[in-house]
Parts: sequence; C-alpha cells; structure tokens
Amino acid sequence: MLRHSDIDLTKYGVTSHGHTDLSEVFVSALQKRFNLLALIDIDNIDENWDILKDILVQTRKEVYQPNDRYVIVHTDTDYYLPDCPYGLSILNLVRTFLHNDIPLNTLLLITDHKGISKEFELLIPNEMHEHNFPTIVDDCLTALVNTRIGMNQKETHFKESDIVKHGVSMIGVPRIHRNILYNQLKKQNLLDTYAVAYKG
Amino acid sequence: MFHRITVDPWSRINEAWNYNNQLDSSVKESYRDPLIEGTSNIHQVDKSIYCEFYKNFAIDIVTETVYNYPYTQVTEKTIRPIVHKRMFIVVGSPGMLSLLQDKGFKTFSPFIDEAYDSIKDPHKRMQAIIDELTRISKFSIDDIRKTMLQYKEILQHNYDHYQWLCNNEIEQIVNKI
Repeated sequence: MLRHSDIDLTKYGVTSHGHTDLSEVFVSALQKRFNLLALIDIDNIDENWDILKDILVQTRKEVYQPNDRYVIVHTDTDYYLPDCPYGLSILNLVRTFLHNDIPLNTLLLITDHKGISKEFELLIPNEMHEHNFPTIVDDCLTALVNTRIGMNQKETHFKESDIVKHGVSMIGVPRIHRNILYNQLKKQNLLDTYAVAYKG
Repeated sequence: MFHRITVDPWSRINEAWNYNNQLDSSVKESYRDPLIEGTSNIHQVDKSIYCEFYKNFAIDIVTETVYNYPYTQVTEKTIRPIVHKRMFIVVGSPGMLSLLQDKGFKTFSPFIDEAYDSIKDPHKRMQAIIDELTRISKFSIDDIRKTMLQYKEILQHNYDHYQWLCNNEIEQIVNKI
C-alpha cells in the first residue's frame, strides 16, 4: 500500500507533514477486508492535486479486483464557494479519478462529513451511480485519531464540592464564532460565571 | 482538461457568516481565567492528559472547529467533556447534539435548553446559545452542583459509551462496508 507519507511532498511545493487522521487500528481492520492500493489524506494533497494524480498513475492496474481500494481520508474542512452544493476538494477528487480513468468504485472515502454522498451524486454522472460509485463511510466518531484521544484516559470521578464556576470554555484561536462567544460573554458580564481561555 | 482549484483557507464558508457584522466578531486581546492552569498550551486542553482544573467546572462550552458548515464535525473538542464527565453546550454546526444522540450518547435536557441545536440560522443559533448561558448563569453554584449530581448517571453513561465505541466502532464500520 502506498501512503502519502512515502512521497516527497516537497517536490510538489507542499509543506505538509504527511499526517493522516485515520488511526492505524482502522487501517489494519480495512486491510483484513480489502487490498488497499493507497492511503491518502486530502489534508495532504489539496494544495496540489498532482500528488493524487501521480499516485493513481503509479498504482494503476489493467484490471481492478473487487476488493481493490484507494482509501481517501477527508476530515479537514472543505472549501465551499457561494451557492455551490459541493466542496472544492470533493470536486477535485472526483475529477482526478475520472480524468485518469480510475474506476470510482475503487474509492473508499472515510470521513466525518455525514451525508456527503449527496455531493458525489451531483458530481458523478447518473449512469455510473449503480456500478461505479465510491464507497462512503461518513459516520465515524471514535474511529479517527483526534477523537480517540480519550481512550483509556484516566477515569475521573467528580466531586461536586470541587465545582466553583458554572462552566469553562477553552475557546482557543480566533474564529468568527469563537470571537463572538468571547465578546458576548464579556459584554454580558459572564466571565465570572464561566472560565474562559481565549487567544486573541 | 483538468483544472486545479485552490482557495485561500481563510475564505472557507464557515469563516464568512457574520453578515453585516450583526454580532461583534472582532478579535480581542488574549484572556485566561486564573482557574485555567497550564504552561504548555494554555488555550486548549492537552490532547492526551487529564486536566486537573476541569474539576472546577460543571459545563464545557465547546467551541468546535466549524460553526457555519454544511456538515456536523465532531472533533476532540467535543470528546473532551465526555471524557471528563462534564455537561456540555456545543457552539458548532446545527445537529451536533442529535448526531451524538444517534451515536448513543445522552445530553442534558431539560436542565440545558438544547433547542439551539436545531437552529440553522447562524446568528439565531448563536443568540440562543448566549441566552441559554445567561439563563444558566442565574443559578447558584449550589444549584449547579446539585444538577451535576442529578446527571451523574448520564455523565457516567457517556464516559462508558465513549470507551465502548473506541473499542468497537471500527469493527462495526468495517463490517458494514
């Protein structure tokens, strides 16, 4: 199986770290069912889709077996143009497969974007839906690396007497919704009730 | 001919929703409550280590990565209160709570009015969250402590269910493919 971490991304002008959000436990489980041709995280290729094109060309087969799969991981936010019903990464993903004549039924998408298959339905010609459509796993919750962080973490038992404030918000780095929340909590004099950490 | 499209990340849809600046979204100076301790990363709970200061709070107001986005996305930020056995309000995409419920978690209605979860308009959803935080702030700290006790079984259920999912969800998913 080819992984994007096996590829020199710098030659594509990409400074990515080669990380994927797919846990190794998940990869092992998939390998028991499928012949994985490549494992690619969109987070690492969306700056330059030639990376995916080259991977597909490099691993191209004359005849694909029913259990051959390209695993594509999509857990980062996509880019949506106004009134466009699909994200640019999904558009580029589908286009790259079609343009390089790789069957779309070899694509196994692992994502936390529940309901994203509707984007593929729009982008893939209707006549391909029945026999040449990607497999989409869109209901991962604890199957990805960043949501498994609490696994086997030390269990705690709260003592009600320890509670001294109603709540906490680790707001973190600025984004519109975080800025608004912080500004509103401040405006409503709620910072005595809710402990906040905000990086302005 | 294949045309590659790249877009500056800051033009993501979830970063451009505060139409006409209806709510004050300007960036303010950094702030940290004295109860929130830590030196390595003072603004976010360490991803793998239990944070001692969490014991001082009943509700985690989770500010998820995305807010105005076509899909719900559960990240480590939402997992944090589940693992720490805290109640939570999610400042994220609409449908976050129903997604968690579908996955077997329990939430905190009626103590927390969770109507905000189904409000699609980003401004109205934010206002509903602020209103709810304001309403809850009027409870005394003793009332909050009693409420935590009332929800103790749910908090434990969520913790246990999370651990169960970590051990079983992948197998379930792969078997379904």
